[in-house]
Amino acid sequence: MTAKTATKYQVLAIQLIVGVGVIAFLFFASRFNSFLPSPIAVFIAGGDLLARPELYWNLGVTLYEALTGLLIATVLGIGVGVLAGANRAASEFLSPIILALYSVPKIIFLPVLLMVFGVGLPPKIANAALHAFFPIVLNSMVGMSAVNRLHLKVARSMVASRSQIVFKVFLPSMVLPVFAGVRLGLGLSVMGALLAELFEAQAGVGYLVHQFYAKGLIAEMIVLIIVVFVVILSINAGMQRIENRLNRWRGA
Amino acid sequence: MKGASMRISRKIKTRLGHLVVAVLFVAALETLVGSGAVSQLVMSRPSQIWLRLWEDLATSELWLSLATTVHEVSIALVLSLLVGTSLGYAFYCFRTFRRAAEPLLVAFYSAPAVLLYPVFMTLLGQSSATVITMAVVLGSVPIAINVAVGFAGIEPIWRKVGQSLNATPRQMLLRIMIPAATPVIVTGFRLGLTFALIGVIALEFLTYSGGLGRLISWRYFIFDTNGVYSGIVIVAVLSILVNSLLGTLERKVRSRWV
Repeated sequence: MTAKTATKYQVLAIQLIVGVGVIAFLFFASRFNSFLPSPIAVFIAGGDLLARPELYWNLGVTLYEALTGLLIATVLGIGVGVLAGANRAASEFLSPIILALYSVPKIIFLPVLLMVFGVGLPPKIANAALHAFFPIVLNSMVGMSAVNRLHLKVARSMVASRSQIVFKVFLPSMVLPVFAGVRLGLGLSVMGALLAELFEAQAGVGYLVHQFYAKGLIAEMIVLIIVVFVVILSINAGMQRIENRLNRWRGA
Repeated sequence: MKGASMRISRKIKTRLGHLVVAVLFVAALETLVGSGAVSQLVMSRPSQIWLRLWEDLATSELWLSLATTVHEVSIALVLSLLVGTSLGYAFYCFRTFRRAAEPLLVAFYSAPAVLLYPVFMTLLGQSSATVITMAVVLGSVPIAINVAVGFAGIEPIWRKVGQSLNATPRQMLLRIMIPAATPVIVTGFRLGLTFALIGVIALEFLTYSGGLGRLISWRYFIFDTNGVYSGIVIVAVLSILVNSLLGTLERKVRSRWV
């Protein structure tokens, strides 16, 4: 066994221990508090929920909202980021605005989104896009400014046209930071969709969580949290794989 | 001298640019909403928002909410610092632990963490305790990450200096490791405060447990559009102020600490 695989097993072992620890904590906590269910109750509730379509349907709604929002945020984020990063004056103008907005709790804009987009899916998608926009635009701007000057000089010395410079120098060097930004944006877009659903919704995981809480079905609620966690873990792991492959392709 | 004056004029130009855009934006909103092109149920006229803002600042309702929020953020920050620093130090000492916890934290941090709040509500009720707990969960993670990265990124030579001087572990920690890691850790503290503030406002918004967040969501439900925007402006200004204050502090520490 090489050192690399040894640490891999160690990592998995620690993750398992953390999981067991959480279950043990829940077990003890449920003894003291009558509202918290024991891990067994959660397990049973999980089996019940996973068998019915209700969970998958609502999960699909939330993922649809999050991914659509992410798509919009990516398009807008890359667009604004490229425009801002290309021009020195533009980036000096836009950076303070974007950085200032980054620290504002974006949930306070939710009432505005609800007023503008009404009810149903659009405000959730908008909230997801709003949350995911910022890491993407920041990373795009950084990616633009971090283009290797040497590459630009080489391109210019070969009398490359504008579009050639864009496609052969800028775009390849921007792929990595933009992808990292999109990966950050993924988690935030799901959070945005969930936050909007928790506030006011007719469908989706947030709505389901609210329903379970209102009916006192805490075990089912915990199952939902675990499901969302596993889903995001998987998507994140997948994106991490792609990012590693991109890293290697870039020769970084 | 020419370079310095060019830099100053560029800074002034950017600030002027911001001011011009802000004025144009407000004017556009005023005309759009005033003429009825945009419904008054969706957006308030900036003049109304301005008036409402001053009204609010005179009432005790706003200041009480502000006091609650500040109180919750302060407690959340202190607890986040404690939890985050300990966790970060554990991450630094046990590298495999960090590698194991990292994907779990990243996956947990964004979305599922938010869903935890009903669990905390079940345990702690609809109170400040829930808000503070969630805010600590959200705020301790950036602190932990930055403490770990800060300690890990210390130049090895500093540690060798300590060893060659026969420093005790306590001296190593206090006189070499902490000063060397301070710039990165200070950034982590600022991020921790930002996320703790975001967590507090978001939780107040969702759980109606008092503070500025509750104010905004309550006003939304009673269709007090002017009040909603006034609240948004107050929260936005508060976060931007706090963040820029901390940012300046952070820059001062970073520049002096090299």
